Amino acid sequence: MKHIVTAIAAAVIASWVGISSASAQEYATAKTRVRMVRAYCTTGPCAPSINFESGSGLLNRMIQPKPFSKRKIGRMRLLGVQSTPLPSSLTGVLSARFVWDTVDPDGDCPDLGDDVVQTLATASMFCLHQTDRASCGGDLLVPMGLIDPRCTDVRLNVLDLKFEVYEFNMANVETSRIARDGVAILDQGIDCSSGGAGCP
Amino acid sequence: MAKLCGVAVGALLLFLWAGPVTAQERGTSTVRLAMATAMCTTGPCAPAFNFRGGFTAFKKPRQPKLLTRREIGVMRLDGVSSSGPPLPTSLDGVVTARVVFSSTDPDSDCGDTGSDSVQTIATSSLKCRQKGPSSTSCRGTLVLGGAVFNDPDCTDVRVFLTDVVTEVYEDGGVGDDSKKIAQNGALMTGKTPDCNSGGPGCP
Repeated sequence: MKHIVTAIAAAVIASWVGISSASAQEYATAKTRVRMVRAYCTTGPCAPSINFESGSGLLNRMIQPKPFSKRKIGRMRLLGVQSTPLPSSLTGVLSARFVWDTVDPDGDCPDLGDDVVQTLATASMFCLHQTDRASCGGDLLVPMGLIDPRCTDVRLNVLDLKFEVYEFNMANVETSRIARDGVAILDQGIDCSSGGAGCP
Repeated sequence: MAKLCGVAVGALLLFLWAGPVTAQERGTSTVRLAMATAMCTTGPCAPAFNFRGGFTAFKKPRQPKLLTRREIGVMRLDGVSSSGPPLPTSLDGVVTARVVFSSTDPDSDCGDTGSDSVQTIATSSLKCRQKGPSSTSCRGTLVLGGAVFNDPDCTDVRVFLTDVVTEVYEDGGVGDDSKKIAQNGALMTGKTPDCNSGGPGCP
């Protein structure tokens, strides 16, 4: 009898899942890991006097209500930073397009259905100096009040993620933008039109 | 005289050290972008399709290998389900990015030096395998477009890709918003009751 009840329950759940599964993504997305490259403005590097070797950004899986209560959602790092003088800290910014779902179980979320671009988190990146270079890193924290407590039961799609690193306290000042997420394809000084090593 | 020479050398070293740094020194290693439901102005772009998770992973790109090894990563979309149309047997992936070529070319023969443009850099044909009666998992190799990083004159020039957007469409639907299933991003699921009603885990 117990087996029959279990089988019937499983069948009902399976059919229910099968019917409703396409209505919404079911799980919070896993980690996103990006690498940092030099930020380029129209005339070249945005902050040409500051360079670095490498960097990364990490956005953890976000499950409500953690982003509301535990404000750390990831981390940003910039290694081998070179400038004169070396920075003691930098500012990291993660901005994104917020698309709020249109369904709220208790109907009290004021952001329902909104679609806006805003800052998701910021990082105070403290730097350790090693001879002529610095390594900077810090936790990405969601600003207090960003997520309304009435909206922690509403699904939020965060798209167009943009990780950026600025000089300290110069967030969103273009000439202070040192790095942003991307992919760097570095050359090894080999020009294949001249038959360099490793060329086809 | 010796002191004067010392001062001159010191000044020279200081000048060299204080001069502007000009270039990033290491290529980026692997990048992993998670996928979220693609959203259009009225909600999900392709509401008939759903998925459990997915990602795009980029390998560390190295020159001059990109001339011959055109695979630069993989795309995956797992647990794809449908509320109406049949489950897909294949999907199309596309990656666009802002491509910035450095203005420095040692032998000055690269035609793209200093260029800055947004373009499609890679595509993927995701093949799907059904996993159970109501879902399928799709994956494919990410391959550079025919004309992308294909100029032998430019393998000695640095390139930076930013504003990377990865998207997955229904088969044959690239560019059609109503067929866009996923794009890179993050989904934050809601939890009831909300923190205004004293839900579990709330402060």
